Amino acid sequence: MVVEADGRVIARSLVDPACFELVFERHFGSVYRYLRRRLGEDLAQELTAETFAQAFRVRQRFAAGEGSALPWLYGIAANLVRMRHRSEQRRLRAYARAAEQDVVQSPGEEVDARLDALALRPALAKALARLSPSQREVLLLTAWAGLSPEEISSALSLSAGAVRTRLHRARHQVTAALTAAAPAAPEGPSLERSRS
Amino acid sequence: MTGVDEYVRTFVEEPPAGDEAERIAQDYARRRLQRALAVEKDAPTSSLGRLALRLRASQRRRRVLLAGSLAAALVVGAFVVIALLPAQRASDTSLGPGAASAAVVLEHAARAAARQPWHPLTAGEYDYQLSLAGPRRPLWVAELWVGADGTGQMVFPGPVSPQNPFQSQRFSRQHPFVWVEAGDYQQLIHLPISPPALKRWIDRQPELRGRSGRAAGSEEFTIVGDIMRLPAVPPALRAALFRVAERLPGVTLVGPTQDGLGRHGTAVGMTTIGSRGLRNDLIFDPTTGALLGERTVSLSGKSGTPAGSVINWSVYPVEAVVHTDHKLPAKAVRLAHRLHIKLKPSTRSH
Repeated sequence: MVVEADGRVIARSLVDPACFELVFERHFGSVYRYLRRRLGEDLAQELTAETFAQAFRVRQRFAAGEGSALPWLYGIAANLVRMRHRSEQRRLRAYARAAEQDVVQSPGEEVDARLDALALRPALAKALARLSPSQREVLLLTAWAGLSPEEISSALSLSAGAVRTRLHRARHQVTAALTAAAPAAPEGPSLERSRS
Repeated sequence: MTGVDEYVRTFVEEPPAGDEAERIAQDYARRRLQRALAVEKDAPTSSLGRLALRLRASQRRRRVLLAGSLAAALVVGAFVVIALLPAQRASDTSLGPGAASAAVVLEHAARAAARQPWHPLTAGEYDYQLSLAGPRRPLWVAELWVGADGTGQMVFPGPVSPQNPFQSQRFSRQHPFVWVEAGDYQQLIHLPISPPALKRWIDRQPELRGRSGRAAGSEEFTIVGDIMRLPAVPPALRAALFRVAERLPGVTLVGPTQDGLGRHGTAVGMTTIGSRGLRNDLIFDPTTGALLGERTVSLSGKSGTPAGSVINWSVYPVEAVVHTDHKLPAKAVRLAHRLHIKLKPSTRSH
């Protein structure tokens, strides 16, 4: 069965707006779960709804687009998140506090990679909170949404070079923060670059 | 993906797909989307959604124009046509040099437009339009032939450059000309011609509403201009557009002036919102009330040009019905000769 490309569906929706519901059904889950991970349930519900409402209103911009509309939708969502970046920072700080509690409450657990990761969570939350909104956006679209630099470039209307630069700086800052916080044990977490 | 990315990836677990929170959120988002769908469906023609989007695209284009580059506006989208508004062929009454207000000028133009004969384009007829824009030299030139079925061509006779990236574009039944604001020709000629109805229609466009819930006056003025410069606009619709503009708060009489080709006219203007201190003017022939062209003027100098200077202008000196999609009207040939402009119609035909 041949699946009609998003661009064609959106082009049809210019004449028959109801066609846009197919785009909604295809991509709601991905956008919602990405936003929920970043902002929590309540804000994610609101911003996902707003993402699709905005996408519908400006769908002409994607009507000639090729490939999946998902990066474009992430781009709209990213703009909405940017307006709420203080909410996200508060959430990340709350993560950091909660993660510190977790570590304190688990002193007897075996020292394994999982505990290492747990130990690093407060530092990671703080490091993410300290990134600039655009660096955080690029890093989370990579790690959580699985977008390539080219897709992020399209989603955020940045050059691919600018995306790579921001991604590099974000990784560098997070690595530095995690290295500083990493347990001194020789088997601490490896933060070396490893292509997957 | 790097080791850092992996830490970030596992930092917050991905929520499970399809759980109750997601279902609730999906229902909520679906209802929001369906309300947006209903706004389009409730619009007075079947394609108002398209029209709203075209209007939005056109607004963006206008903003690009305000930034000072008419040609760059073409880069924004292949559908974007810097279309041309015909000089209306009114011939009797005179506005006179002492027009008292913008409303008087616009009402005069509306009456002149309303008197023009008109018939819808028929099969085999093409609306030819020539537009020129400056002040960049050489002048930016565009020619358009378009039939009622959307077939035809657009030609940009200038050399290809970053500012003028296309030389031509053909329209076919599969890929017809898109009337930037109105979808297709039938939708254009069936827009409301009662000024209050047209105004209500403009204000209903969801994309045009500001945060206050309605379009700002300067946005409406922009929309009026965007529709007016489309090809083949019926005179009755043009008259209605003038009358909508006449009633917009903030439209002012600028006074006697010259258009980009040096023709004498009377300008009415609207200061843009937001603003870097720009004013958009429409210039009318003081004798016939015909629209000669438009321009953007810097008021404050904030846009990088001295206060009072013209940032860009457009004129629409020729519009005529021809019977092929590549024939030049005699008036266009004469004007091109006088201005030393080379027109370059394609010899290709259907």
